Amino acid sequence: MKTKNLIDVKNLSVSFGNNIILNKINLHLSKKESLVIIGKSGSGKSVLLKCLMGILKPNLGSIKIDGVDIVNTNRTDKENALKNIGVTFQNGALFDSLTVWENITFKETRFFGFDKKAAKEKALSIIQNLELDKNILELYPSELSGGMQKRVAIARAICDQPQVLFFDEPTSGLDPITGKNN
Amino acid sequence: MIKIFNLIGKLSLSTFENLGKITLFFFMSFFWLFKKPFYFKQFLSQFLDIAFYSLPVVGLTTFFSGMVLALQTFSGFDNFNDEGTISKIVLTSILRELGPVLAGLMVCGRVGAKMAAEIATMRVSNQIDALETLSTRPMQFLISTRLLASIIAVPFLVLVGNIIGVFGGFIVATFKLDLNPILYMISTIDNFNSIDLIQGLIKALVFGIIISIISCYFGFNASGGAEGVGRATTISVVTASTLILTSTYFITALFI
Repeated sequence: MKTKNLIDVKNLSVSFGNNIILNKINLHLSKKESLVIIGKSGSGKSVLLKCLMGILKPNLGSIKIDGVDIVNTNRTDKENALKNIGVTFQNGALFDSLTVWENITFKETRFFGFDKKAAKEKALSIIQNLELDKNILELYPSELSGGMQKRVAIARAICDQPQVLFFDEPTSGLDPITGKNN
Repeated sequence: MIKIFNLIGKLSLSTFENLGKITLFFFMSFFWLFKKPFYFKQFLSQFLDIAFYSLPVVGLTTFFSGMVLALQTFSGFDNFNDEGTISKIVLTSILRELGPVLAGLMVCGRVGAKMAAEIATMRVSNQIDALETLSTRPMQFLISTRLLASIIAVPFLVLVGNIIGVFGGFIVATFKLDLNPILYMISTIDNFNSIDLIQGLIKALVFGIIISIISCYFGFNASGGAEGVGRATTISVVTASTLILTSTYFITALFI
């Protein structure tokens, strides 16, 4: 019996002007499956991720996440499909104006009705798993080192236990031991 | 010769393209104001930033403008330097023109630059993309809240600035020019025309829209790292200031 894929990408093509970045990419991923994409700088890894996250619209092809074609559907369906994903960006992309715990529980406080205390507890349990000190919860991203920012970004991505996780250069800025543990 | 026409054509096309995009950007942010959820905390922090923290600079500017206006009127109109003339000129100028324009330009420099730089930084550091992946519409979360805050805060600032400006004129008229304070106050109240105030507040409303939309538009479409942030900030302040000074003429013309 054929298992249902969680992510289905068919003939995905992206170009900027005459510059072809992705040419007819196909990939299929089922639940609990991991895929690592390695390529030289500028080969389109981040562009592929941005397409999968629904941030960049491809020129051709389809992307199905849990059966929903996020390229050719309406905004509401696309947003619902993307609720199941967690993302870590190359540079962390933490919100400068929010503290660490507010960053980590951004979705929880806005959509799942978490109050301040519950959100802080949730953030604390996650950062402890990532070997971060509890004292950083009230700090702002600018007060953290690059490696700590990266781990907070990972904490934000996994906070609501999404079905799909995308990591763009997840171990850059982390020392080899921390990178391996995370 | 062809090169010159080519350049003019390109410039015109890009101007109209930007104009169209800014108009669309305004309607989109206005549209998202009426959609749930409403980010009240975000709106409140923006409102405080514009209304409360801009108050000193707007107050100081309008205060000295009122003072200088009273002084110039006194020395410039030798035959009409009585309480009635000076208070009328100070009041009308502040309410109709100086209050809104000075407040608009001050807010543009202080808040507009901040908005553009903040949103541009969020754009170049992927924070806006991160918002999208966290099921939050950047247009609704970042832009609509700033638009609403500006629409309410700038008229409020103008209202307070007007009072301070008129008070500045009163201080100079009574303490430096030795005019009768009671007569000056009565004359100010007599000369008050609600249409002047409304005209100024309409200008303030338009300036609020101009400042927030222009700053957010250039910030939202920034690219190219730190240099892009700087470029977006500069162009947004220059464009918004120019539009403030241009639009004030057209609004004034509507009232005459």
